[in-house]
Amino acid sequence: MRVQWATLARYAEVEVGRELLTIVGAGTDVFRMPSVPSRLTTYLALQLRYREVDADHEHRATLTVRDPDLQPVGRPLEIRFEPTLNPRHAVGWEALFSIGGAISFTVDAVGTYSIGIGLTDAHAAEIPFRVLAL
Amino acid sequence: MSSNEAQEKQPSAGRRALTVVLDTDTGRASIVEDPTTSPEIAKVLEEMSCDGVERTSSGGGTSINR
Repeated sequence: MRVQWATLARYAEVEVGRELLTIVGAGTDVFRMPSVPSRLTTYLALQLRYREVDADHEHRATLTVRDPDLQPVGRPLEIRFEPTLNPRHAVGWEALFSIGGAISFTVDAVGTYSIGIGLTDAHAAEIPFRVLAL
Repeated sequence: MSSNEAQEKQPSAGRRALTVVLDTDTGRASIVEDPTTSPEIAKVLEEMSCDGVERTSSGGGTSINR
């Protein structure tokens, strides 16, 4: 399994049934905050690709927010899921799995942060962003 | 759906996509079945609407629907 793309946004959700990702404000990477420390909430959208043989097995995505000193912010987050092939899946192709939703954490200082994405214990992608004073 | 009900749905079998609500302060990761009616999503959006944070991009872009 691999990350095809990942982005922060002002909103992201998946539409169950059609499995479409609805994303508003994709590419968000600058947050100007009235004050710190403060809680920050943003949305996250991930598109994963996996081999057909990886369907119907449990997978684990871990998300780790890191501060400007590269120290973890709060607790790492774990999402366990078992992807199934869509009836509309084209045989022989990599399959798609989408994850969208909100992520919240506490920001103690301005600077460059990141959200690291791991798939089954292997680092898969990194989303950098900046927190600035308003 | 309450927060506890959402959390109890992990791990989840037989999915093709997920909407989630994640919080590193608590370590909580929950699945939202229907974002449109989810109280969790409504709460997140309400918090974001009044947090005073300006969310922008450092990049550039253009529209191609001309």
